[in-house]
Amino acid sequence: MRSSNRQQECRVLWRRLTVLLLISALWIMGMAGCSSSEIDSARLEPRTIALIAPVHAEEQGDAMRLGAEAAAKEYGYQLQYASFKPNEDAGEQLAAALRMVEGGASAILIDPANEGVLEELAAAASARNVPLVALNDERLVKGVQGAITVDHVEAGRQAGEALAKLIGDAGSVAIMRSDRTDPDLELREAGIREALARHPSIRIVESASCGNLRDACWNAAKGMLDASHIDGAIALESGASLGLADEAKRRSEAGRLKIVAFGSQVEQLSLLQDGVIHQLVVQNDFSFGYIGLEQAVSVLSGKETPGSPTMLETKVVNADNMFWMNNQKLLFPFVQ
Amino acid sequence: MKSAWMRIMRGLGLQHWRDRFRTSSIQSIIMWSFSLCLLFIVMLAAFLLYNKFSRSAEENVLLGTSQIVDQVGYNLEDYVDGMSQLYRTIEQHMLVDASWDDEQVAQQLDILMSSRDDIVSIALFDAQGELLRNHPAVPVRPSARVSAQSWFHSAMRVSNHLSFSLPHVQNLYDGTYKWVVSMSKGLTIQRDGQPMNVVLLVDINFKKIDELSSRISLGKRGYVYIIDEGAGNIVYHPQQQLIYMGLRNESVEKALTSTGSYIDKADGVKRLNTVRSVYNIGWKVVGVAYLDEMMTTREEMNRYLIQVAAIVLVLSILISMLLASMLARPIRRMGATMKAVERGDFGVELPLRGPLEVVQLSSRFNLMLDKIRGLMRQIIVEQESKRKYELEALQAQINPHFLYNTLNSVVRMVGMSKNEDIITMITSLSKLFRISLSKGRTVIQVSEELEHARHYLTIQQMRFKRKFKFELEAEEAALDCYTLKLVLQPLIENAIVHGIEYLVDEGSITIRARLEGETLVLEVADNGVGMSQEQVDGLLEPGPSPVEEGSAGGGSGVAVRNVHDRIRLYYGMRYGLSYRSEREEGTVVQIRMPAVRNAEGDGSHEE
Repeated sequence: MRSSNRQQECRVLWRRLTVLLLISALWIMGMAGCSSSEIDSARLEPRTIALIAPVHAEEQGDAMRLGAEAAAKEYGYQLQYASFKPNEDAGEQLAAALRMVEGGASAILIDPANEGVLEELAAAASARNVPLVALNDERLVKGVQGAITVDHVEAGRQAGEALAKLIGDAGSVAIMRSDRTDPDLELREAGIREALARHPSIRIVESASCGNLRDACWNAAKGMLDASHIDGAIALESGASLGLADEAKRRSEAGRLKIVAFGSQVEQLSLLQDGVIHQLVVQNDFSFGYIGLEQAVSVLSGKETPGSPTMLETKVVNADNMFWMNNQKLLFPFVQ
Repeated sequence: MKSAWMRIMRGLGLQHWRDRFRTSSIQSIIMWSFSLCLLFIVMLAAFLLYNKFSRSAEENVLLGTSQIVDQVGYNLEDYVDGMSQLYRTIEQHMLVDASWDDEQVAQQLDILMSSRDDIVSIALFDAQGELLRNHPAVPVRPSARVSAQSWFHSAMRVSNHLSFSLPHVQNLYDGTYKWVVSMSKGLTIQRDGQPMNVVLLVDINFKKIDELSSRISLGKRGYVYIIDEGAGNIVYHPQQQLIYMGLRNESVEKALTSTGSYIDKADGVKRLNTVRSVYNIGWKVVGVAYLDEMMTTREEMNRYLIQVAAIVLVLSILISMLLASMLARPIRRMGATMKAVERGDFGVELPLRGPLEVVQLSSRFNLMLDKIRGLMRQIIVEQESKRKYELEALQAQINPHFLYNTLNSVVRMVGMSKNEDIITMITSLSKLFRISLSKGRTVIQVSEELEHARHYLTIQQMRFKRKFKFELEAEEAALDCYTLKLVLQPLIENAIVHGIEYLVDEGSITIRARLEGETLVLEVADNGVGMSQEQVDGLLEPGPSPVEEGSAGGGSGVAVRNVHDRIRLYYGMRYGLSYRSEREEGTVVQIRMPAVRNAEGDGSHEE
């Protein structure tokens, strides 16, 4: 009797083992099927990171895009790029950025038109848990995981020193401001003033301010130059530098009036080559895109982000070194 | 040798496993060995396949990279050749007879320019860098500093040699900053009879080369870059800006010196670099492929192989389980049947189905069982007859009829006062009984048997008033042999009752004992009336014998056959009684049995 019981037990055990093996076989086959379909879906839809270009700065945006694309390729992401026509402004930028958030982008890079855009977008992005990296902006508002900017004070210092050297450490200089309040520009100005203060013979005379329009800036420059004798001027924005250059040419003072400006627009570069503008303080927009995307990827992979904005260096170029190998790629990023 | 092997086995704990293996069931042995065998084969196959695949994948990457890089090189070479050709054409058209101011030349240049959109500008300068003629005809900006440009330098340095510049931004004209490669050559021409040094510049758009290179991708992250063979300047690199910014590093030194493929490490990642020179322009194309991408392919393959191996293993275990249980089932069934037999149930039978060997085994088992059943039946029959015969032998020991007759004779003798005879008779009777009892043994010595026969004959002789005489002859060697007891007495009784009693003359009975080789022969011979052959034949047959019918000795025929059967039961079918008889001559009965010299087998016969 006992042995027959044991036989029965054995048989039950065998049956159980068979069932177990069958189940595991099915499971393994299922796994194989699943994993291959996973690969397929990953191949069809790579994760995307959106880059929202700055408004009123097409060339700058395109340079950022180049950098972001280089990084995206390296890290295996697809880049979605939103650009704007010259007549589009903060409203359109915000709308485009929110569309990207809704569209399921893994992360957003944005060069915000103003603080309002950044704050509103940050709220929307953090609600969806989408990392946000601000370019060209050092405000780390809530919901912004990273910021990349240039050291505006240092840039201002560089500009101030360059101008001081151009006018031989003596004379009167003017600063052309923007008619809107921008903390970045204020930092630049602070840097300029700090640098010029080190040269006691240099006097800062009354400054003018204008918007983004070349003609308006020309008028402002005219008024400024009419008001007093000026040896040198610094334009905080590209528009102002172009107006200033126009006025200098009109007065046939091109070359005598030392102009230092910020930016790397083609017109500015052309004026730099021609000797109307003497020095340009330029930032590398390509690096903005590249490092911005790099930060977004590191946030996505769960790494800690630096608590403070990443500061990039600026570079001062003049007519002599603007066609040097290293500077050509910086100033003319696009092969036309 | 063997002990060393055993020690190793024990050391590895294999002894334990071997013992377990020995004691485990056929089913598990088949299953595990089958599965292990398959597992081994699958692993081996997977290993070999993996090796083969990964090697060929590596070769493919190498081959693919070098093919792509070669292709880029060829395209570049072709493009540069085409451009050189174009340059020569322009040179011929423009400088023949030094007639660059000609209207016709302008037309020809127009056609050339419109046919090739990658020519940015054509310009002719004198040795001081002053513009002589350009196309399209736009003024050169004063800030261009022509004589300081690198293409002007290289043209002036080596005259009559076409040189290609590195890609650079063209800054000769207002409003445009295009990336170009400058083709320039210093030439000496005769103008108005005067030799004159000029530099012909053709700027071609870099876009074409840029596109050609940026379109190439090697794997997911791999890329192609171009360097200048002379100084190692980067002509094209997808991340040129990052390199200038110092955010990336491309070690061009190794690419400069090598010609084939080499492997380097960047940021801890192994990369395959393939270098190819573009001779007509002095550049080098370098293809960079990331080896870890290939590793991912390898890993994917690894995973796939493991999955396949797992599936095959599980399936093989399933199949081997089925196979094992299929093979083990008839054996288990056989085991169960044997267990039933063990319990004493001999009526079972194995069904004849399953594999050939099992069927054969089952039929053998069934045959064996049949034989056992037959033997058991036979034993039962034999035991029964043995008991019967022994009972009869017991009865023969104290035949009351014989006792009655003998005692009657004694009484008669007392009446006749034959004291001598009485003593002889009583003595014989007492000895007869002593031997016939012989302490309950069934086997006695021949001498005792003969003694018994002598007493019996003595008594019968007296009873029958000396109607016969008797004789005992025995070989000395035969006396020590053992025989079943009381085998002679029924034969003697038969001889007296059937042979001598009706005889007119004096009868004679001779008892002989002798050895014939290893056979003991006891013989009872009389000179009585004898028997017909028919009677002799029927004597030892089972069933009622003709001698029995109406005979006074009642039952002695049965007794004779009992003797015959007893001997054959004890000693085998070869032995027993044999009769030789002739009418009016007499009868000889022979008892044949093996010559047994010790009585050791005796005990086993005692019951």
